[in-house]
Amino acid sequence: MKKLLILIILFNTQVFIAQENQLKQNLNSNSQNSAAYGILDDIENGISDSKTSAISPYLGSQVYLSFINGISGYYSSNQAYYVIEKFLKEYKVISFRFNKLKLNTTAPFAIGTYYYEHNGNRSEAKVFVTLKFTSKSWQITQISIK
Amino acid sequence: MINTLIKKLKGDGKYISIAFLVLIILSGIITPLIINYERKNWDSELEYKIADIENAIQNSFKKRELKLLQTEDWLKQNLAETFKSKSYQYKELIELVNSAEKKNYSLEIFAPNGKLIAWNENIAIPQEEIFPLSFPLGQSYFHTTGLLTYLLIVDTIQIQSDVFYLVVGEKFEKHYNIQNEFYSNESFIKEISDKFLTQIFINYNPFAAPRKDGRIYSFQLNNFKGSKIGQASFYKPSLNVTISGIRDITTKIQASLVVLVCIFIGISFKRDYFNIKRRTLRLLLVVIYIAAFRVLIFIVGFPSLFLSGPLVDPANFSSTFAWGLVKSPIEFFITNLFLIVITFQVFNYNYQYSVSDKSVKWKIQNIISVPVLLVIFYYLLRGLSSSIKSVIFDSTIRYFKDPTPIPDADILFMNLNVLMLGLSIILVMISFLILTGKFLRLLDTEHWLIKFTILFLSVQILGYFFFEYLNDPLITHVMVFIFISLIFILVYSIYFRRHTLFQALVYSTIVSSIITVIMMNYFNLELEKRSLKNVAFEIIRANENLLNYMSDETLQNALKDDELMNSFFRRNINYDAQAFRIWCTSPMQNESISSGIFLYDMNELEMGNFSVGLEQRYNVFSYFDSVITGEPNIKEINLSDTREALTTIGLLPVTKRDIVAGYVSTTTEFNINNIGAKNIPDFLKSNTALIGSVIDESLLKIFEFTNSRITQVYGDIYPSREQMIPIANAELSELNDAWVNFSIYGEDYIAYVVKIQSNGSERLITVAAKEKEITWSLFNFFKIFLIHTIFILLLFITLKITNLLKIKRSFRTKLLYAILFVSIAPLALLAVYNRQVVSERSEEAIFNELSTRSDYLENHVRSQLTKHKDRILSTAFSNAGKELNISFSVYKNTDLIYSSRDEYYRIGLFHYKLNPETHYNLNYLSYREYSTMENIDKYKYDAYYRKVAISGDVYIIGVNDAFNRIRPTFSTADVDVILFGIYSFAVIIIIIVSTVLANQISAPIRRLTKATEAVAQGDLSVELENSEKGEMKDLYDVFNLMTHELQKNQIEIAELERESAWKEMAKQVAHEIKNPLTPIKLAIQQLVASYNEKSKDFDKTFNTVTKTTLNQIDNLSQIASEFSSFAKMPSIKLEEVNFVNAINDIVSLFKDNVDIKFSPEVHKAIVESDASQMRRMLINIIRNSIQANASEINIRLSEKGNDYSLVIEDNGYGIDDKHKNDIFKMNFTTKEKGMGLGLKLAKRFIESSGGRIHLVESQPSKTIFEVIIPKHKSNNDLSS
Repeated sequence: MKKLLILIILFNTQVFIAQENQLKQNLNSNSQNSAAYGILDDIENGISDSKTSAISPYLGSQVYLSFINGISGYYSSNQAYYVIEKFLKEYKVISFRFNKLKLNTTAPFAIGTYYYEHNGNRSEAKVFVTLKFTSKSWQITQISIK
Repeated sequence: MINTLIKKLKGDGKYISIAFLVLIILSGIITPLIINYERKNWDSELEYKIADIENAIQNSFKKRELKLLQTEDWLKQNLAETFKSKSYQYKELIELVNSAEKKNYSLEIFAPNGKLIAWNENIAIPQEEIFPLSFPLGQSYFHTTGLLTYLLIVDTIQIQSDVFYLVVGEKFEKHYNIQNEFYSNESFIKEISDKFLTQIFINYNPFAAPRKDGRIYSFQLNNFKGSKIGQASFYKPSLNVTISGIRDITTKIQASLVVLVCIFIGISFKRDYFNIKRRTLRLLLVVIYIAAFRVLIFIVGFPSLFLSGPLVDPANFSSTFAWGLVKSPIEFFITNLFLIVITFQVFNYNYQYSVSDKSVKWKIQNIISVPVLLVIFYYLLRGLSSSIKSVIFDSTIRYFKDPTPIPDADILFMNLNVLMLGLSIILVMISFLILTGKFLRLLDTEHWLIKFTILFLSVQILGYFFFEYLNDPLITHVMVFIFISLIFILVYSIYFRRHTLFQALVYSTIVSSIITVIMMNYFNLELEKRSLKNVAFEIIRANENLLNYMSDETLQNALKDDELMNSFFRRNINYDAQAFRIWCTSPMQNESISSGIFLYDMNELEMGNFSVGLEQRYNVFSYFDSVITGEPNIKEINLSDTREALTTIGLLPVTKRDIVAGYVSTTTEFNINNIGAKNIPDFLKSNTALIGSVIDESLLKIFEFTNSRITQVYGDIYPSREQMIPIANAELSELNDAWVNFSIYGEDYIAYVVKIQSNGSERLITVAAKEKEITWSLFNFFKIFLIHTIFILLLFITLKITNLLKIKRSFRTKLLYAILFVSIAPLALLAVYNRQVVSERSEEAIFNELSTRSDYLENHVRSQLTKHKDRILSTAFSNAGKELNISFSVYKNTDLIYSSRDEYYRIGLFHYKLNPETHYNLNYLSYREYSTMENIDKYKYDAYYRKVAISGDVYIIGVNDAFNRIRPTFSTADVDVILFGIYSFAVIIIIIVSTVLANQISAPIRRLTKATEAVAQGDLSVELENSEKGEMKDLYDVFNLMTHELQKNQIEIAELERESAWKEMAKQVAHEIKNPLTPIKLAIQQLVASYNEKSKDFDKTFNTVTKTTLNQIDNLSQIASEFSSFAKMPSIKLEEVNFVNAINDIVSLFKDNVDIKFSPEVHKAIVESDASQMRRMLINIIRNSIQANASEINIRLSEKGNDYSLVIEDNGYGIDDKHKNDIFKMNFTTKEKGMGLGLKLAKRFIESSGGRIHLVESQPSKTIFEVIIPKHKSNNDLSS
């Protein structure tokens, strides 16, 4: 009986530890998701306010940019800052918001529509932003405005 | 008052600055007024603006139409001429239609029976489409094929009794857009939209209706006959855009005015600036002014506001350093320009200080500042490394990737930036090093070599520890050692060799170039290494999400594409062309990913498609149970669990009034085998194809392991399990990645390994590249160094033209140029010849490759037809293409009957008609084979055609390298790399060897020149040590004999002259003395007679005689004075003399005879004296030293209050104590042939110049004379 009791206790302890770990993972995952959400929110605000400084803290060391003005390729965070700034200046935003977000993945992404004015003409483009978790934080790996 | 103001404005920059400031304020006031005026009068303004734009568009169109009409006239006239000739040949017709001057037009001639008989490369309308005519003859109209719209004229020409049809067309609008360097944009819409800054639409259809949108204005486009041929529309100009335009203009004006204000402020304070006596204060002020100027123009956006294109493109370079002062190439340039002005000032300040007479004494503040200077020195080196790293990393410009040695303009510009930045920093580093040396008294002239070595070693050792201590030193210790050594060479040449400021500048530029090019090479290697990481990320990036996004984006765009949507409700549409058009503007082309667009009708039957690189076709409808209308339906397809390919399909129903009229479908496929757009023809690849953006994709090897099993390989090697062990055992970091080095088949590779989890599988992606060969490094170095050399030469020429740089055109330099020319010219010719040979061989190799493929195809088809008699030809061709994996086309006469790449003909990118040149050679001249260059836009490729007889019919097989990749074993690019790298290296070696040779060859001549100069200065004791051989030995012997003889003769002549002079003088003296002696004698005789006679007048006589005698004695005295003044030294001619130069001149005379050193502690020493006598005095003293057997003479010049002190020290046998007091006496000499005049005359001369000379000490091996000579007052002005 004692053995059975010990076995039950051991079993329960194992189950408890496993659940604890699972919970921790979920919590981590949830906190990571909410962090990713926060970053995408900042990016959304940055683009809609044409404020590159709101986006720049999340630029990874190498960011893939692809814009309607022909910009396409990998850029260092330094370059990306001014490339985005120049784009937002030339293609003045009228309105922008993300309308699709996927967070519970290794590479969260968001898709939105960018309404802009360029040389007196109004038009729209699709925005695609992906993130990647590095050792410490989420970073932007790709911004596509096409 | 106005006149006074104008005068003030003219005379003083301050007032001009104020005037500009007022203008800035005025512009700020006027702009809102103009904007308000625009707002109030907008309605009437709008009418004018619309009318303006309409007229401008009509005019642009008319111009193009007129040119087309002129071309038609030209063709008609020439055709009439050609056909008129009795000896007319078909060749002339072909040549006329393919005339180079009309190559942009489409020219076609049809025979009276409607057969196309002559055409050029641009076929606007095929034979089968010309009839029935769609527009009246002779009138221009728009003809649209699938991808192009032509402005066309179809007309006739009567030749004798026959009527020929001719077509003249011009590409007017391209309906597709490919993002790569080969695409040439031919769009009338874009041209005028850009011109008028508004979006313009043109419907090239005579029946098109005007747009109904109120924001858009529409008008008809009529041809010269007044017939409508199209409908143009444009967005009406908006008030906001107009206001924004006015504001832009104001901003530009204000920015320009700010620049002018800054310039004129500088000019207005110029005089005040030069009146400041303290150089340190002047330096500080100029630095503040330049820095403020830079910041101010940056704030107002000058000059970026006025520019567009690569110069202001942050993609070419941008850094967040200094709040954006270097955010684009042009801003970087401006910052460098200002920086170089500042650093040059700092350098100049230090240069003047280093050559000045101020000897530094031990001071506590100097000692304390040394560590600070050294730390800044090292940080400057670190800063330069960091900046160059930024130039390489924060830029999409690839400085080394392209094998061509001639770079683009943007690369040239960035290289100029790099050189300027390098020079700025190196100038400051030199300055700091000189200061450090001076403060530590390690740059003194005494024992300079030992002290300089101590300084060098100290800086190197401290540099080692400094960079060792840094967390991220960026560069290696070897690089630090090399760079510091190079800077020390500059310090040596500037400080000890006393190069002029501008010589120092040129040398500093060369060293800056070497340092920056080494850094660029080094960081580029790092970038290439990091690009492996990018490739790995690229593979990871190509996940389901991205493919989903691409499909979604493409279908969403398709939904908004009116032309495509309308095509589902029309007939006779080239749906393949429509699919291609959609693909071109999709992210699929942009990403160069294997993909396709498929168009289906309402019955789900395919109408058209375009795809590249897809491994298989999918029945798209079978993957969707239900299809949602009005939005894209996207699905990922998992074909196997090995994840060899990731595939996504999309489907978009096209509806009208809820009825499905058709479908647009997409397929995107990612496979490592296709990475780098391997399966996409070059002319369709995106210019942003990422894999090859840094490193050549052919050098890449990619391996993907899934659950420890190798699943995919990219590249030409398939490694064994053992070869993969280093990868499998790689120790991954916490980010699950690692760098691994390994070897395969004796070749070294570096690889980036990253592990990711994907759909429950563990994927290990390895991207590897082969280590570079040495030729590449040489090529890379010289590629940039050559560009820098051009800039250095420009600097050199500028300094030379402005007379700031003076270079002696000596025998040595002429000899050097001659040797260089003789050595380099054949080398250059050899390089050109080699390149030519390899280029020809390369072309030959391509020709052979294409010819061999034709052989294979011909044989394969023949063998099929032999084996299978009933096999139809198209099947045989198709089989041959697939089995041999060769892309080819087959023509019968002039028309295409088969192509393994049929899709490109269907969409209209390639013509169904045979190239006219090939047609002429094969069909008309009956050649068997013909090779030529063809092109699609700017993409050129080799094409090979061969006539073959199959089953009794003659066909033409065409194979080209646009679809068949041919890599000659040795390409011209490889040759460029080798030739440029190795030959440049050889040129550098030649320059070094030539310099040494020129020095050696010219050395005897230089010695002889100096000796001759010494003789010319009067020093005949010069004797050349003769260790030469041949003619030079004879010349030296003769020279020595000549000087010996001259010296002997001089002594003899001097003796003779002296004797003769004495004789003459004695005669004169005797003669002159005789004159008074006679009266004295007579008077005395008279007195004696009077005495003897005891004359009573004796007293009277006595008085008379004594008076006469005394008078005559006075005469004698006067005669003696006159002789004395006749024999005195020549008079002194006083002038301003630079004592340093005078000493240098004399020292150079004796350099070859004795070890003579001159160490001035002053750069300039102006005295008031007689230059030639001063030289004679110096020669006397130095010659005395040499005659006293001195082997070493040290001359020092220093300041001593209001005087200069010249100390001459030798190691001769010295002066005996007993003679020390007599050396300055007349006629005193201890020399056999001496006259005892030298030192006496020297003393007399120096004293006549207000100075003095004395013997300081004399003992065996050490004799010191000191000459003190007063400073000229101009020295005081100089020092102040």
